[in-house]
Amino acid sequence: MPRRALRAAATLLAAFLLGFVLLHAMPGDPRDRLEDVALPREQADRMRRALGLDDPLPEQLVRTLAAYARGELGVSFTRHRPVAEVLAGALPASVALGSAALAIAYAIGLALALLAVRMPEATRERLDAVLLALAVVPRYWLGVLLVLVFHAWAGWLPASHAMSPGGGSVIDRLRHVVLPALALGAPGAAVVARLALASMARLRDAPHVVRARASGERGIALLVRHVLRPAAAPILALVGLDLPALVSGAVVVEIVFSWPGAGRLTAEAILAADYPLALAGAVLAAVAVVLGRAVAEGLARRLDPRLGALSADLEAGP
Amino acid sequence: MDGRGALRAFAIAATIAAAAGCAAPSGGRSGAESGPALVVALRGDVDSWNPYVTEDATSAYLLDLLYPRLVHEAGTVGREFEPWLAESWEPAPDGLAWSFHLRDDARWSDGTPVTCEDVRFTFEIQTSDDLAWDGAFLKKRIVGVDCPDPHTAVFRYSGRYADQILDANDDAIVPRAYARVPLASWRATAWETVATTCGPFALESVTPGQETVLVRDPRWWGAAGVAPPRVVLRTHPDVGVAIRLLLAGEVDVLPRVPPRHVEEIARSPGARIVELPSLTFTYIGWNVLAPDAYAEAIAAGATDDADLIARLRREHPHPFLADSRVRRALDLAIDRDDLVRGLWGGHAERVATPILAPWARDDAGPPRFDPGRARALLRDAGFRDDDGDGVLERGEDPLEIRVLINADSALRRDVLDRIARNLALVGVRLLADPVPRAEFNARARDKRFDAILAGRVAGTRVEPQATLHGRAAADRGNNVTSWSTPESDALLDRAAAAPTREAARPLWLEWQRVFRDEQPYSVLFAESTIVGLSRRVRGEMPSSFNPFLGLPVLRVADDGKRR
Repeated sequence: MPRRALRAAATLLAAFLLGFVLLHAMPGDPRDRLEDVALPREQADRMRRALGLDDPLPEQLVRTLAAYARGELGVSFTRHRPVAEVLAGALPASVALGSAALAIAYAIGLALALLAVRMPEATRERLDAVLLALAVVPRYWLGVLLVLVFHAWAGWLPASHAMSPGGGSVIDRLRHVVLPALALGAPGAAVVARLALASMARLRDAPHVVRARASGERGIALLVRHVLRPAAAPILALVGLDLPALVSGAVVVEIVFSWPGAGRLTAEAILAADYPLALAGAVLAAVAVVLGRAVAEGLARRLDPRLGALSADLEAGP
Repeated sequence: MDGRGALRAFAIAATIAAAAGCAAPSGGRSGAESGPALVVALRGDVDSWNPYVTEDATSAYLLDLLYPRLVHEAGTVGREFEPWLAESWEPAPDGLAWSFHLRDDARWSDGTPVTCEDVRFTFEIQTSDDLAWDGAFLKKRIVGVDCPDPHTAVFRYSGRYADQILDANDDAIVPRAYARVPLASWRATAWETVATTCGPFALESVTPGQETVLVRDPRWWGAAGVAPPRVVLRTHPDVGVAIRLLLAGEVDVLPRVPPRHVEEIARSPGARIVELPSLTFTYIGWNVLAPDAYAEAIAAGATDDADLIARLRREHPHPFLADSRVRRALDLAIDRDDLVRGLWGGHAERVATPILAPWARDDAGPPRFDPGRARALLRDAGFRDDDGDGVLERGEDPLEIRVLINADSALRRDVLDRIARNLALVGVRLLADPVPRAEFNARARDKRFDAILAGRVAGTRVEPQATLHGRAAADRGNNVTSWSTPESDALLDRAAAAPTREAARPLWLEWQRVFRDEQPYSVLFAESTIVGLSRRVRGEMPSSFNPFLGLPVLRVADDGKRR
């Protein structure tokens, strides 16, 4: 456990340092985010001083790191309010979209795998090719396609934002999340389906499945109990690895659907050289990676206790 | 003023009257709920609900709906200003003061009256070093604001000059109640939680990343002229999506339609376009210094002043753009008609100088597209195509110009592509140097370019000295291309000091002649603001430089079709 905590802390520190250095290495700086090309040098210099950017970079780094240690993330250059407040405003939308996308990815993916595993080999191979194509389809393209089909043509679902103008009911909000969640989750569903299908196909004729079949078990119940469950460890471990997408992996989808999430916020902050907001967004994504990894390891250990014992042995050392 | 002008002035006056009529002391929200909300698409959130904190141009325009100014700058010859917070204004006999008489029925949204103390407080924060407002230089000739009574604000000036009203009028008036927030904290304050406003709408709710809801305040004496009960400002970072929603009737107003989408909207049965003046122009600035000379001098510790620029012009001139014959030739070889028709579908105006204010601009228009004369000027300047590759040379140097442009703007790329084709006809190779905005501005500031394609909001203010005077840097300006001449500087100084617009006008006309002879920029066109309106929207937007000031007169037909 201490080793994992140390590893997590090191990951977060590395993300912070890398983010800080890369942001400051970008051409131009926050004074150049304004549209006025003729901004006087004196005014630009005054802005730099006001933002604390005149100090040597190592000094800025230490000051920012100390502030982070105190839980202070600074004030956004572009939104003129505390970064923590800005991110807190965007996180619920990110979590809602990410959770819906994960649910779609696993529900559709596992259902497809359960259906496909009983299909003839040739049909399965054709389905696998379709799934492969879906897994790599650009999410921007898929998002636009979904808008065209389900919004512009059919008129069934809204195409933007997390609610209707002026606010909306729970049903209204659920309707708004469907298309972006599909755009984000459908490629994931294809990945889950292919992974599950491959694992289940290997297990389908395993001795314990043959014995269960001989004892009279049939159909979906047999597949779920004796094929899917043993195959679930690597599939569910993916959940943890997908967690970072909850926070920052949905930038393109958030832009297409005008979704008010943290990914779009961070991307806009990077383009505007809003160092405090961009850095906090990067660190937040790193936190999601660390948490995701912990969830993945936890799930894997729970589903296969041998991994836990092995992990404990490794931590204990020789 | 002709009939259309009178009609426009009336429409503006009616809108501003509605906008400026601040609230009566009490009352409810009767009638605020009737009719559908007006849905307006914006590219991003409003960055701050305080006009002295916002740094975003769209946000600044929008805040005119929430905070009053003394007067509205109509920009029409013969009637430059319309009443807003001030009902009338007059100068002192010696011209060293202007008195603005404020409405006595104007109220902030917290019920307190709008008085001269608010105007004085606004002036104090504008000139405060703690706030460091970037427009503080506009106040350099204002000595102070006196309040002889609550509804009279007297601006005192250090001298008499033509733009005294403009200087007093920049920018919005904010309530003195804002003094409870220390100036040092203004840029870290969520102003939507404490906003005290005085406009046709009040702030109802802000949902970051999604929408802001403005609600009509029926307590206002001008509420009868405000049509929509609510305005919902929806954030749409992707303009393509916003246009789809406009055509589908889910967005009512798209305040700035990119020109490449104008025809699509105009042809659609679901929407229409409205063209408003913008007083914004696009130009190519020709650097008269060798591209690295300035940055190297600054890095070596030189001070950015007129002496430095003069020395660099002598010692490190640009190999060909320092020659006014070359700059004039380039200008003659640019087909402005092609830009205006081909890119803007005619929704822009060909212009030739950076002065767009109707009272000061000359009537000569831009030079005719004349590749023949351009070639002759280049021959005079010593350029030949000895190797027959289609590109002129002088000695070993081909006439090749790299143009710095903001890569984020597809429109600028299109402009440059067309100009490059024009200039190729006279043997000039124009190459795009596209970089992200932050780098673009950094290189512009360091003057590291041959030429720069950029835009500028000229507004109703006539102020080329901020960008074209030899002492611009010393006077809180920035002469990006480093061009100036003693004659130009003298004319700029005299025009800026002229006591009246009548006295200033001949000086501005003379300066524009010098500008045309020297051609430090090629000013290409003044673009219109194209507003997209859904077919459900009723009402005509008054002609104003600020498209948001037209929102109060727009009504949405309740056809029940909005999903």
